Amino acid sequence: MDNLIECKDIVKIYRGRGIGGASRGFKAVDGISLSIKKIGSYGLVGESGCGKTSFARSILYLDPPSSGTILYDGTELGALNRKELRGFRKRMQIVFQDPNSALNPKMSIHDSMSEGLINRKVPEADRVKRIKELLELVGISYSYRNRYPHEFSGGQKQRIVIARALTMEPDFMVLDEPVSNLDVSIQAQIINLLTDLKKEFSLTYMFISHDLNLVSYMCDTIGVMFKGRIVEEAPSELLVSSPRHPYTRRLLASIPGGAQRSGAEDLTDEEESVETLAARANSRQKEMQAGKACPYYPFCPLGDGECVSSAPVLRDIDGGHVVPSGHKVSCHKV
Amino acid sequence: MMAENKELLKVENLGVCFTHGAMEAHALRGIDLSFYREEIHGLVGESGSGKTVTSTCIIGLLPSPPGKYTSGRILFDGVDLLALSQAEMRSYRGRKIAMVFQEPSKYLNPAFKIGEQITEMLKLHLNMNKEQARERAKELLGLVGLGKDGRVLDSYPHELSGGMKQRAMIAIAISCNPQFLIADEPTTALDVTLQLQILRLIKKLKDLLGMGVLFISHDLGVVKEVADRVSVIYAGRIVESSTKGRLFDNPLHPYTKLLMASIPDARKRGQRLATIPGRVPDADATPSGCAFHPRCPLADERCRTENPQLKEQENGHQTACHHAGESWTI
Repeated sequence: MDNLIECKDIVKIYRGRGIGGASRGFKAVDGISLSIKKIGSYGLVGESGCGKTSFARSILYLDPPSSGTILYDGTELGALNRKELRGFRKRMQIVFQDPNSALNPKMSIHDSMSEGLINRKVPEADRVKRIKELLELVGISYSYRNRYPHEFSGGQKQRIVIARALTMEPDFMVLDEPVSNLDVSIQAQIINLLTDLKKEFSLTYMFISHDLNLVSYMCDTIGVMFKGRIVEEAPSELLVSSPRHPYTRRLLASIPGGAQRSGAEDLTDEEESVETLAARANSRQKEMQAGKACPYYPFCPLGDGECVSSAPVLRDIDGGHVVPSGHKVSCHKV
Repeated sequence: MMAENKELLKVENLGVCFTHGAMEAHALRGIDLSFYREEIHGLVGESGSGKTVTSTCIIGLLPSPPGKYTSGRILFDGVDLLALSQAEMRSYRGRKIAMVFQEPSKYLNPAFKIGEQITEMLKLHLNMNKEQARERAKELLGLVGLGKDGRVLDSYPHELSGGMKQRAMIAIAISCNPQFLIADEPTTALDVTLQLQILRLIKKLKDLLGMGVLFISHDLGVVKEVADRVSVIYAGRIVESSTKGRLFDNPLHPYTKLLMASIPDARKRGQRLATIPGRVPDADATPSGCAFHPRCPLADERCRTENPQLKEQENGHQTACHHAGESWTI
């Protein structure tokens, strides 16, 4: 088995309870298939609201997907009963953006870290030993174990959250914007820590972020998400050096400071007012038939009739190379 | 030099202290900054370094108590803003000095239409009547890219997207043709693609209206994108200040160097990121001597006891470091 995670056609619909009857619901994740290699690191990039976190919650079965299958190390999670699923949960952990809300303010960090272990009926001596090891590993002195979250800085809290995730000895970790809330000088400390831990424990990462700089540094494969779909996927270097989807190009061109402008170009005309662009988006939205058009069409500088009548699918664009590069894109105009 | 003539606002040796009972937090410990017309001056620093306190002092909104000035002046066109009465300051705030904040949804009044919020300024400061104000508000919306037909005038804030709200905020800020604009993390709450649009807009308006701009951010990339001049603030003091080109090409202060080296990007893949050990000191426990010395790879005895002054090194490139320009292996 080469892949730790294999997702196929994951769809997640959140059903709203609208006034006067059920609404059709909101499709947060719209048919994502991807696989994550063992000990690999997959970066998921996209803007707020594109479904990154919903997708992560789906593959962890925190919010089971509405349809689609997830193979975890060859086992289909959807086919498991609750008890069996619990066994797998232990192997998958998630670290959220805001350590303040991830730690219970009324529990000392030792108690917070013990919770999972107690649940798993780990004997006390082992618990203490493991907590001690992990805290020291993430750079928090064990003598602080009886302190409460408010006594730590943001960076320290994030270290504690990471250590807590590791108490379960996971092999898969989802990192959901793990450094966005931290000061610039602290971010690098946490990123280096995550790199070290990955090596030490042979972890597989899924890294969720809006920051392409960070993801291209951390991950070997990047998937770009737009409106619940992956629009482009490629090895990091390739995605950054030769982005193909107009949305990816726009994202790369938007990185402030121009560090990665080389392969990217912003196809939108900066002189156009937002009003004009919004009007175009609006009129194009009306042209679109439900579910058929490319979701990026309203914003796309390249779109035409073909994009309205059929949604592009994610396809390989290796162009006849002997060794497949793994570059996939979902666009008619590439 | 020409630049001298254009000087618009000058912060001199500004010190601010917050008191809570017996605790004294020296948020600013002698800040010097110069702002020029038609120039964006980026102020970069981490949370708690004093960026926002600096801006609240300039616009005269320092909460007092608990805050109080311990030293310094803020000269605007030759007038010391700190010596003005509240009433006098009101004729500057909004009129000559305006501000754009991080979260537009927090600063726009949800109960009033965008048009009403712009015309309020025009009526108050420029004594316009209703029709004049509405015409001008329409123009302003066109200027910030919200369309010339004035549809947005009759929208409520909740009907606009995040990026449009920030544009509306900017329209309010520039409504009275201010000479000086403070933008405090104006794009931090926005997605990257919107961020770039707003940065371009601020640059365009700066040229169009000839404003001096103080642009506050924690993000070096954003500052690199937008600023003409950059100052780096650490623990309530400016540690380095220069034109953008010089600062990014040849940073002299170890803090600036480390900050730049610690930002990940694709080209650093496989390498370890440089880190700054420890964390930003709290304002009530600023280290002795150079505040950066506990985290600095170059620190020696002198740094522990003697606070370095901001000195010109070359061509207007200023830095406050006893070891300015010395190199070490990151």
